[in-house]
Formats: sequence, C-alpha cells, structure tokens
Amino acid sequence: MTASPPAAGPPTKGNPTSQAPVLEVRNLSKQFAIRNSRKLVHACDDVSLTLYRGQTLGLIGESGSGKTTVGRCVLRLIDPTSGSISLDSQDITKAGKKELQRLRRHMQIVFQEPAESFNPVLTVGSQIELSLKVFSGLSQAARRRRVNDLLDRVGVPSVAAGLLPGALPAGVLQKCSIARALASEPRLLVLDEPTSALAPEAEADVLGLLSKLQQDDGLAYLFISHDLSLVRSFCDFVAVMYLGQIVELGQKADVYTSPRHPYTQALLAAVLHPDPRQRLTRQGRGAELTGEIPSPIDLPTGCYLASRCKYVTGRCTAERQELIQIDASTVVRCWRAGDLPATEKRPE
Amino acid sequence: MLFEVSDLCVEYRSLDEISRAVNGVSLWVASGEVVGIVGESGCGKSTLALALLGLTRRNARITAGSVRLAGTDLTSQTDKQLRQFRGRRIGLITQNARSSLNPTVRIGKQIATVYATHTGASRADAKKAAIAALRLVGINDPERRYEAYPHELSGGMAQRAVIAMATVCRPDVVVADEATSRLDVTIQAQILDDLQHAVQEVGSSLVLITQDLGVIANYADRLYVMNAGEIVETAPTARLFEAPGHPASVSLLESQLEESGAEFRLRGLPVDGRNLPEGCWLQARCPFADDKAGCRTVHPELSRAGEEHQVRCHRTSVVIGRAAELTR
Amino acid sequence: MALAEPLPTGEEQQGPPIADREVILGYPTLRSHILHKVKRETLPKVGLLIVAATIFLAIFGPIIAPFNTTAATNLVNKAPSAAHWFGTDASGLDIFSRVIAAPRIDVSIALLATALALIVGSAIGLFATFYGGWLGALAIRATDTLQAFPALILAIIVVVLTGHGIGNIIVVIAVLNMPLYARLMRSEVLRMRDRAFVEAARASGLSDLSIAWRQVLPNATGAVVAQMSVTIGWAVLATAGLSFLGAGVLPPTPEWGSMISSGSSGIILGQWWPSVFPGIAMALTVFGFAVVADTIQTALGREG
Repeated sequence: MTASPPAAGPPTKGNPTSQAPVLEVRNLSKQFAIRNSRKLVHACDDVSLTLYRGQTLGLIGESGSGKTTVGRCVLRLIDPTSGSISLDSQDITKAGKKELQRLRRHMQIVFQEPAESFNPVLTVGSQIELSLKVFSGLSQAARRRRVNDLLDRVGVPSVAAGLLPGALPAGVLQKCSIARALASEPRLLVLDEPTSALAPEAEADVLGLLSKLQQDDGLAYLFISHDLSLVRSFCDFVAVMYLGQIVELGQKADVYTSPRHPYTQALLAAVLHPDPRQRLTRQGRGAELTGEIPSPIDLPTGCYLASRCKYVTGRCTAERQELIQIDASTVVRCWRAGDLPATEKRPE
Repeated sequence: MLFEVSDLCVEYRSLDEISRAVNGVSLWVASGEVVGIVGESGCGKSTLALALLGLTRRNARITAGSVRLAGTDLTSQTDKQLRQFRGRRIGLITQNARSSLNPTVRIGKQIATVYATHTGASRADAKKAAIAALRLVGINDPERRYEAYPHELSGGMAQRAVIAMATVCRPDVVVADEATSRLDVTIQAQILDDLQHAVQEVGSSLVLITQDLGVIANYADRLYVMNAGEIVETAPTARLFEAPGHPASVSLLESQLEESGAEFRLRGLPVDGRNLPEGCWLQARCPFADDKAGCRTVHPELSRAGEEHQVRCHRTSVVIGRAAELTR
Repeated sequence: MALAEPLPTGEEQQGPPIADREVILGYPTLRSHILHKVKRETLPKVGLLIVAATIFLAIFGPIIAPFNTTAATNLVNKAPSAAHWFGTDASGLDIFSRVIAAPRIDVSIALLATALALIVGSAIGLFATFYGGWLGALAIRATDTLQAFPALILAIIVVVLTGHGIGNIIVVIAVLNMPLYARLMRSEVLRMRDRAFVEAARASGLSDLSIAWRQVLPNATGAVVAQMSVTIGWAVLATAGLSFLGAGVLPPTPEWGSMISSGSSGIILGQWWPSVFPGIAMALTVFGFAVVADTIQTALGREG
C-alpha cells in the first residue's frame, strides 16, 4: 500500500501548473548530537513538502514535533543532516556562505516573540533597515524612505522607527517584524508561531495583515503553529507533525473534517471550542491518547504513535511507517488509514 | 465557604509615578464553583491574582478593599499570618510551572513539605498525601514519580506537579493564572479535566484567570470580564457568550471566534494606569462610545442587564443588540 | 443606534501621541535611571563628586598647586600649619601640593591601563567566543591562565624586570585586567548568541563580523561600563601599591603610593602627615569610583 515517493505536497491551487514551486523540501532529516554521548536527537525525519506562490501551508504539531526545526532548516539557519531544499527550483541545501547570503533575501522569517527578535538597544527602524543595507544598495535617505513605506504598509505609525523595541507593544512590534521580513522582497515567509505570544486582539490584527500581504504580493507562507483553530482559519494546506515526522498532509478542509491519522484525530478532539453549548465532559471527549510519548533520542522502530494509539496492531510496531497517498492531495502515514472509523465531527 | 473580594485596589509605584492596576474589583466565588476572569493583556488580572494571596511585587500595594475567605480579611493580615493561608486555605498556580518548582529538590518532597508545614503531619503521612495528590492530578505511577526531579518531567507533568502542590492541603480556593496556556492542546484538556476533578473532589472553589475563551467556555460556571483594572461585566458563562453587554467582552469574543472580522475590536493600546480620563476609561478605544450617553463625562457603574448579569457601560442595550449579529 | 465614530479598518493602531520617549517606554532607560538615583540618593552624588574632583585634579592639579612639587627645600618635616596645610615631608616638599598633583599620574595610568585592558580584552572575548573554533578556545584558556596569577606579585616581577617606566606600569596593569574583560564579553556573547534577534540578523544576510560588532557589542556596553569603574579604582590602588613597594613610580614624582611609602618611616617619630594625607586621598578616590560602579550596576540590574 505504500506509494513510491508521494506527491509530497499540495498541487497548485488555481495557479498554472507550469509555475515552479517556491519551496520544495524532499526527505529532510535533522539529527542533533548530544554532548558527551553517542546518541542523537532526531528532530525531524523524512519531511517532504511543496509550496507554491500565494499558498499557505500550515505546519502543526505539539512541542517536540520538529516543526520549528523544519522552519529553521528551510532557511538554512540550521543545516540539515540529509535531504534537499529548493527555493524557486534552485537547490540551496549545500549552498555556501556567500551564496546563502545572496539567497537569503528571498526567504525570511518572523519569530514567535517580537521582543526577542529585535535587538533591545537598537532602534526598530535601524533594524528594519539592515536588510536594505545588505540587499538593496540604496542610499541612506532612500533606505529611510523605504523603512517608512514598509511601516506604512504594515499599519504602524512611522514614529516607531525611531523607538527602541521595548517601547512598543507586542502587537505593533510583531508588525514591525513583518515589515523587516518584507524589506528584502522575499517570496517565502516562514512564520514561526507569529501570534502565539500576542493577545487575541493583536493576533487578529496581525493575521489580517498577513492575509492582505499575501493577496497583494503572492507570498508563500510556511505557517508553523500549535494552535489548531488558528491554522484552520488561516491556512490552505495543513501538515501534521508528530515526533519529527509528517503524519498527515492535505487540504485544510479534508484534514479538519475527516482526519485520517489517529494522531490528527486525537489532536482535533482535544481542542476546546469557545462555545459553552458544546461543552463536553471528559467522557464525552474520550481519552484519545494514553500512555507516554517516546523520547526523540530513543525512537521506536515502527510507528511512533504505537505506544499511545488505540488502533495499534503488531504490524504497527514492527514496520517503519511510510507516507501513503490517499488521494490527489492527501498523504497519511498510517497503513490503517483507509479502514479506521471516521470521527464524529461536532456541528459547527 | 465563601471567597469574597470587595472593592480591591492595587497600585504600582515606579519612580514617583503611581499606576492604578486594580481599581475597585469586587467578585465572589462559592464553594465548589468555577469562576473565570478574562480580559485583554494589561487589564490587571495577573496583578489581581497575586493580590488575592497578598503576593504583589515590592513596588505594588493594596490601597483599599478587602479579600475575605470565610469571613477573615486577608488584606489585614501580616505576612506571617498570611503564610498560614497560602497553600493551606488558598492556592495559586501560575503559568510557568518550572519557576514554581525548586530544581534541586525532588517533586515528591516539595509537595510533602507543603503538606507537612501546614498540617504538622509526620513524614510518612506527608508522603502518603503527596502521592495521593499526584495521583489525583493524573500522574501515572505516582510512587515512582515521587522521586523525580523537576527537570526530568515534561512540561505537562511539571504543571501537574504544581497543581498537586497547590491542592494537596485541600485549600478552599484555588487560583489558576493562565495555568495551561503554554501547554500542548492534548495535554491542556487533560490537565484542566484533572484540575476540575481534583477541585471537585476536595470541594474547593476554582478561579480560572485566562484569555482563552475555549478554556472558560468549557470549564467556568460564571465569568468576570476585566478591563483597565475594573470588572466591566459579570454573567453566567452561557449568557456572556450569547449576549455580551460590554464592548470589551464583545472585542474579546470577536477576536477568538472563527470567521469574524474586526468590527467590534477595541482600538489602540490599553489605557495607561497613570492617566485615567474622566468618564469611561475606554472612551478612546470603544466603537460604541457616545457623548450623548455620557461616555466621556460619567464613569459608568455596574448595572443589571439580566439574570445575574451586570455590565459597566452606558450603552449596554446597544452593545447587546449589535453583538447578537456576532454570536448568531 | 448609530455609532459615534466610523469603525477602524483594523490595521491602524492609534496610540497615545508619542511625545516623550520615557513616557512611552513605561520603564526608565539606563540613563534616566542613573540620573534619578543621582538626584535622589546622596551616595551616588558623593561618588560622582569625588570622581569629578579627581579628574579635575588630574588635569589642573600640578598647575594650581601652591608650591613646587619636586624641588627640595629645607623646610623639612614641618607639621600641618597655615602655610603648609598638610605639612612638609622629609625633603621639605609641601604635601598638599603633592597630594593634589598626584592624580595626574595615578589617574592617567589608571585610565590608560583600563582603556587598554578594555579594548584588547573585549576584542579577544568577543571574537574568541563568537567565532569559536580551536583558536578561540585557546585564547580563552590563555586569559584564564593569566587570571590565575596573583596580580600584584606578577606586576612587581614584570616591572622589576623591565624597568620603572610609566609605560611599563600601564601595560602591566592592562595585561592583568584583560582577562576580566575577555570573560565579561564572553558571557555577554554566550547570553546573546542564541537569541532570536541574532538569528534574525543572520536571516537578514548579515555577516558574522557585522553581527558581532553591531548587534552583540552594543548590548554589552552596560556591563562593560560598570566594570570599567571598578578597574579604574583598582588601577589606582595597584599603581600606589607598586610605588609603595618601590617597583612603580619613583620619587620625587608625586604619587600617592610612593608618598605613603617614604612617609612611613617617619610615623614612629610622630610624623603622621606625610603618609596619612595621601592615604586618605587615595581611599577617597577608590571609594568614589567604586560607588559610581555600584550605581551603574544597580541601575543595570533594574533594567534587566
């Protein structure tokens, strides 16, 4: 039932198929060495995905799922152990320092904590200007104007440019973070939990901005998050990660309404809906996942979820699970995906 | 057992400036009840949480009001007297579990120490109580986990250990300040279930302080909405979601409901506690503000807007009407 | 049912008018914190006053001294009087003049040595830690080794071997303090290396050198400034100590340490003034610098 290298990503959505993908990741793996030990931490394993212009791929998973590592590897902020990464059909996996510096303009990142991602002793404006200094070759006056334009675009008053990061509230600062990412006119934006540290109002604000920017510029987003409801409203495609592997990848609607992988099902069942009328008791929610989560240092041979899955069989623990193509746009890493009972979805 | 806060005021002093963080907050929790306190960041809820246990920071002071637990006013107690209450009669769980645990002491011992300090129990009895507490919060194999150091526990486990520590003495009130917001979704539901279970078993009241509407929708019986250090609305949970009467409540609901716009969002930044204006403090940010209703001149008081429903707003009826579009 | 104002587009943030940086900041900057403490508390004021006075004397001391500081006279060992406020020493030199002329030597040595230690030490610490590698590790080990030596003894040995010149003294003091700055920089770099803003800078295409210089360094200045004040105080003591032991500045150049030394033999004879006055002056100076260092440290601690 295992397919030969599955179409590792979503097909183009309304885009001409002749257009090359902005990002293509194939079999990405990353292991970290532990000091004074032969053992390795398997941060991510065999991750493949494809992203086209104007699309948003959500990467969801809980802590330890490897989603942050994937985001860092894509930008080559960390070097992958194996696999390949292509940006606009150009292989950047082995690119050297100089070449990377040149390529960096096309892919940028927005971090989770806005206060952390800015140098506390330099003004916000000067930090946004940094990209321009490196990539644009504009004069100082022109750069300053660009900074103001960027701030304008993200809806931040231009006085912010002269302030220190500590002076701005988190929501505004995160928008400045986005302005900085836009400075080099990238094609790909990795958004690493961009709103997790923000209050709900600021969060809604920032998401609105990101949507608009995507519409205007055709940016491709790799949206990393642990917030399932958020990913649902914001992303086109969703990849669910568990212990470094992608366990399910497909169109948002499919993944959320009929999740195939037991882990996805459990994840979705655990979300607390802000609606008192749909309050479920513990029994109602069902103890979907029990048992201990394996350590990323000592991963089991077979399915990583085997120790906690209620559908586990002998084959699950014995064989390493590969991604199986379910339909044109969905892959699942579970050989039983076809015959598991579908979960009851709550009325929306 | 009633836990009652009346007109509590907390001020921060910083370099000659006084900032009012909590302004005349009144609320109550009955035995066995779960009450939620929600509000945007900066509304003063965390300061309130600390003030309930008399744990405010050095530069903050309770300047007025009272916190009564079964009749005793905690604000009039000395720190020494308050220590009898903390852990024993009222417990606090904060967001970052790890900072509540001593990294050099095994968790079992930490919990047992809390128990022994307050009840004078023997080591053996304290250990038994600690193990029971660990089991109550859903930690499997508690006898073995008793010996674990905090760094050996995952985030979820550590949070459970902290909950065990806060409930081992069966306090009358447990205050949980964003106790699960940093946890994975699968763990969060489990922990909240365990917390609710532990609290029900023991007969305590639970105060959930959070921004997460999913949490309060599923666990709280009644809600208090805070803004700029005041309670601006209180209602049973279902009622608040159906017919919110205060612009701050509507703003909060809108930002967390899926597929909604930004129509009712409060604009701008939270009000500066050092410079509170005349009239309603939200006037500069509120989409419903209206001179004719007195928003800019008269500071609104809490007034009845339904069964057990109070709102601090001059424009409540308008708000309820408009918000109905939002909540279907 | 009309709303009073048109609803926002959802992207504008109308904050309060941004008038004063500190009002918006909501927390005080390092500078305002220090100023506040100076205005409020007496101790920082005293410290600042002493430091200012010392620097003033370093520049103008020899000029405003009432008597010549090196020409011997026959007014030997006179007790303090109206003519000679601090009395005279065994060579008939006016002690008051020499005490206020001494800072020029002491403070110059202290400032230059500190500057040298700071620049070289910080550079080593910054680059060794940031770039790492075997060279970096070697450099750090070398500074650690240097720090292990008992400072003053090493200083004496070096000065005795290389000669008494002021330049030598400066270099020795600088070398002895370099490890401190190297370590300071090292801990700052380690603290910041994994922070998101460094990653962001790298993602923006900045070279490592640029990041070290422009991103990491400005964050470390606070700690460095605090350390500087301590070093200056120490350097004054060290110079005086070396001179006291005869390994530093030689008489008749006015210098507190050598003054204390040459005056010490007279104490038994009841002639306390040649040693005590320079001693007090030195103690006050070191105290002043220590207080300033402490003020900066506390203000830094507050900031976070």
